[in-house]
Amino acid sequence: MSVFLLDSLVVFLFIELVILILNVISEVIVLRILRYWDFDASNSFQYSLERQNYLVNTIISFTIAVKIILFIFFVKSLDDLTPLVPGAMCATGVIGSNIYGNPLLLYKIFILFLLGVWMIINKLDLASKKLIFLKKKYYLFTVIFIMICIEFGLEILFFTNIPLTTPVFCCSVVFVVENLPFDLTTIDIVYIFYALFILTIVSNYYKKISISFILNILLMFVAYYSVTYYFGTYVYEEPNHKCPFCFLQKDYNYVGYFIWGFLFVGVFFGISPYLIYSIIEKNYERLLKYNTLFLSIFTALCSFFVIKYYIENGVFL
Amino acid sequence: MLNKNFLNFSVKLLLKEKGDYLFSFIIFGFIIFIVTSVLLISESIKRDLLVALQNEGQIIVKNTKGGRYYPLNDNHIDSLLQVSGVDDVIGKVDGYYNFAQDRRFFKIAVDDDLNDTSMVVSKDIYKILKDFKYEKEFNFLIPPKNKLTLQIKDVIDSTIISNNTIFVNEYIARQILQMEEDEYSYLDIVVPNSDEIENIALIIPRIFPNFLVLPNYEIEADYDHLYYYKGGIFMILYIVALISFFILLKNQISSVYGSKRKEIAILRSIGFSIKDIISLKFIQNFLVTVGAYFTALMLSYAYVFVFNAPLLRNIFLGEIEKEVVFTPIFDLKMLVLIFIFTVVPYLASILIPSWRLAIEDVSEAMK
Amino acid sequence: MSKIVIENLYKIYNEGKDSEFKALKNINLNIEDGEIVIIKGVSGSGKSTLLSLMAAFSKPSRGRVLVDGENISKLPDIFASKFRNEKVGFIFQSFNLIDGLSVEENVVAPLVLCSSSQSELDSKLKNALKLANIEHKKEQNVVDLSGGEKQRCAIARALVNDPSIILADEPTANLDRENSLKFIEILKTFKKLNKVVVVATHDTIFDNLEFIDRYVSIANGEIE
Repeated sequence: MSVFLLDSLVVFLFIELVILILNVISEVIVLRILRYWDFDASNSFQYSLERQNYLVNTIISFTIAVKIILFIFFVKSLDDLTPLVPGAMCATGVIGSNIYGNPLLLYKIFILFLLGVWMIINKLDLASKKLIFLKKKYYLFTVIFIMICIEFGLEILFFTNIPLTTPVFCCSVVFVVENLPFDLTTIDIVYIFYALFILTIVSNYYKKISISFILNILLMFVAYYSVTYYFGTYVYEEPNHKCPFCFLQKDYNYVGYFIWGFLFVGVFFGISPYLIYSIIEKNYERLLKYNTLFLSIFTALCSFFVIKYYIENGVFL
Repeated sequence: MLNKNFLNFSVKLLLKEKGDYLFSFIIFGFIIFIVTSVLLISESIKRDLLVALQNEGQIIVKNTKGGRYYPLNDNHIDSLLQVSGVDDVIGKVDGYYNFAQDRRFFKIAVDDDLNDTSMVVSKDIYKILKDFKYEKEFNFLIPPKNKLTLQIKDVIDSTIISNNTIFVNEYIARQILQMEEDEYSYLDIVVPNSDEIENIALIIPRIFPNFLVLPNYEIEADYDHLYYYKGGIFMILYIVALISFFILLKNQISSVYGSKRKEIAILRSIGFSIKDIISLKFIQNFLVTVGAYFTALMLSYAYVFVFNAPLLRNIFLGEIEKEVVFTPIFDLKMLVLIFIFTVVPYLASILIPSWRLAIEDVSEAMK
Repeated sequence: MSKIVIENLYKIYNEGKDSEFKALKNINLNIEDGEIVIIKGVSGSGKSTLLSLMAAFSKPSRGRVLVDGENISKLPDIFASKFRNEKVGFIFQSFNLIDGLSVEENVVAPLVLCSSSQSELDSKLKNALKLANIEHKKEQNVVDLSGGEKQRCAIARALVNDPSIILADEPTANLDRENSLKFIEILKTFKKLNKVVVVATHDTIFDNLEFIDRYVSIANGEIE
């Protein structure tokens, strides 16, 4: 018996491999471009590099689109694995079943963020008549490429190390102890979350990209804890059901995809202006308004479940 | 850049060249058709099994003696009812009747809506009975010398669960299976709180070490195991077929594109950039694949659920169960899986040929 | 400043190899706004290469082409394409229409790149078809057109985005005398529309026309 026979995993790894091959092709071209690129040269070699530039752009854009789909698919496949892993009731059990699971998930989100930043730099590069950011965007891609290779290795390690005989812990065990940093209580975390949210919006309003960057990173972690330990319980309408994955399931109308989706998209727009500035020294602060927008939707969505519960039952959990 | 006019224009060019895409459309559609049909069959069988399981209690227990199944009795039910968390214990009767004339066993199951003189059989069984001239009624031979005659009240569609089953009421079932009034084949244990199932499943063997305890999640996992690995091996074999198709496709696309060089040079000369040409080709291929995907999906549904999957069914069911019908299912996740499995690599394989075509020298147009 | 400035332009194929061929050598040319220029020369003299460099179809080996003060020879593909799309209308010797599409669909092709509204599209289309006098055939497949009609369709396509520059490469080579004369009439229309027109030709029908601003002769890749 092997997890590699699960059809969604076969498909997932196959597509990851296809993407990896395309990226290897890109990287070969990228290395050539980085080595020989000279915009002022008028020889046919330089012109052929310019043409190859468009192939690489196409492949990377395709990669980003597929990676986003695959990320959702990955989370969904973890749910599929639950019947095979003893003790697992939702993705928590599977992802926590070995040491690679949680880092892999975080790593995947990080890669998506970097790919998003790459996309924006690429757009700015193509909009300049001298392709001024070309080298920087390809150095960035080289970093992403190495990360994608490591990601593939981590995926294999993660899947091969999923135990099929030893029981794992399900979410009711993993999150039962309030494992919060700095001995904070759940309510503290929720207050910190709202405070950070307001600070971020203020910082966005004054277009302080570096402050928004730091606030967004903090916010992402604080939001994770508040959703898992506080807002989630209102989605499940059960004070002891603390799990960041269960609400991805059909029983909760897949609301988890929206909650995490708005958070990640929001945070992406919050941290990317600073990253873009530090890479190509160009201010692209207009993204901050999307940060405000998505974080507001996220906060509203989370608060909605609390208010809904209060209106229906007259008490808080 | 991706505006309505551009899309319209791409479609117009595509319609003009539909012959060039026919090959990819048909082969690709066929590939999707096969993979969808196989997955539909295996999902449908699995779903039927799981639905049947849901009609049972949360835990099923069977008695064994010397490794063989052995009937249970009311004492067992009484002791199990003492276990905290158990809401109810229902004694069930089932078993097999040896139809010696055809050297086969019929499964006997209970349907209490039936009276003492009638039975309901599946299409598969009806066909066998007809071969032995039992068209309206059937005689069960019960040793030593009894004969029990039952009218065939109804013939139902065979599903994976019912294809070998004769339904009678409980009283008749006991007669056919020669079971006493207080004997049961297995017990359904009703446990309302799902968190306690696992715990109770551990307690029962301590009371009755001979009992075989099957909690529902374990049976479910067994079904999953059985079908996931069939599906998985199939998918792995299928990747080989897919890869050969994409190599074929790449060559086909390259040769078709070869004849389109002039046209692309014309488009480039009136202002289409390399990016625009790649988008144009991407849109066209996307439409072709999505068209093939939906066509194949509809054909698969018709093939499996209307025509009952001739040929392919034998892989799953063998030769015997000829009349089994598949219960239609709609599983969005499976459809998405097929989409990702087929459409994404297709589009990936046309990226490089499209780019090759797009970078064609514009001065080609002047020749 | 001149509309088009060509400075020290070279186009060398297979540079540095045995088969090296210098298609253009040190071309210098200024073309003013509203000017109609005829480039004369036998086939192989380099006049088509010159046109293709002016339209940013290909890139020079040395030197540069400035249009409205911008060096189009160094533009990345996206900008070069945008330049062709918005500022240049090109009329080819072999018309270069897309077979299988109607006149209308051919003419509208350059417009699909910008997201203009349907009414905007229709009015530009109608205008171009009218100027090229091909309105009555707009729904016909271009395969079924006569040579003269094909050229008028090509002209409509060149005009549809209202470019400031019209380049024509041997426009009369595939036409009979009657249609060639019609083309000369259309040149006069271009003049009235104040467009820059550059025609590369070896056809004597263009000789000694009083509305032509300048004749340039080119031989062996050099201006004489």
